[in-house]
Amino acid sequence: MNRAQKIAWFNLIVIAASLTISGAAVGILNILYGMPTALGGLGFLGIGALVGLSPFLFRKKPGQFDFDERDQLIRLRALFFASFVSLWCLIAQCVLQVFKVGPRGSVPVGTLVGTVYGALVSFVIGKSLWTLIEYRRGKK
Amino acid sequence: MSTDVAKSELKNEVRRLRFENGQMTQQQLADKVGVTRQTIIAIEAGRYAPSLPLAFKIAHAFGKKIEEVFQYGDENS
Repeated sequence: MNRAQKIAWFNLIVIAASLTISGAAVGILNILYGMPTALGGLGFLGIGALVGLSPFLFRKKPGQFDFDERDQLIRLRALFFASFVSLWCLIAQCVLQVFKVGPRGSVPVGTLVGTVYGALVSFVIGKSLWTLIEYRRGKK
Repeated sequence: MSTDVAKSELKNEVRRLRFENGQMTQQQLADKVGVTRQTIIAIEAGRYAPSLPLAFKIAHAFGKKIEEVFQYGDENS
């Protein structure tokens, strides 16, 4: 497993953990205290910020050659796929809101934050997944 | 632009030439041409079509012409 694959796995695990933990926290808090307070459990989504640490956790070893034209191509494809997924998530969420509140309605700030977060998460998931798929396809 | 190739499109003699050149390992060839061993594996398996500069480097590593290492489609049939 090369560095790009390790980073992709790490990012997927972190995102999955953040979504699972925050979902569980919201569920538990909802049972205990009811809904407005339960949304505090979404604070655990902050765990997702750990994806920013991946390049530092999986550093390139000095003198090690681990990135060539094929890796570059895979990275480019993964970025393209992730951008596509992320953009469509963003568009879908916007269209959904139009249907939900109408073209002249107003959207809560929380929804905007959720939309941006969703787009970012879908980007990270899309990039990581596509990276793993491409390397697996080439048996790398 | 795709460099994933069907096995029938781009054939290569990399594996055979490695063995004919003193049982050269994939890692040794990779170091010689400046790529990772995994890229050599993918090229040998026909899952990745190298760029033209890389194809030349591989051919030069064996002291061969590019067409002796890589063949496209049915040109030999």
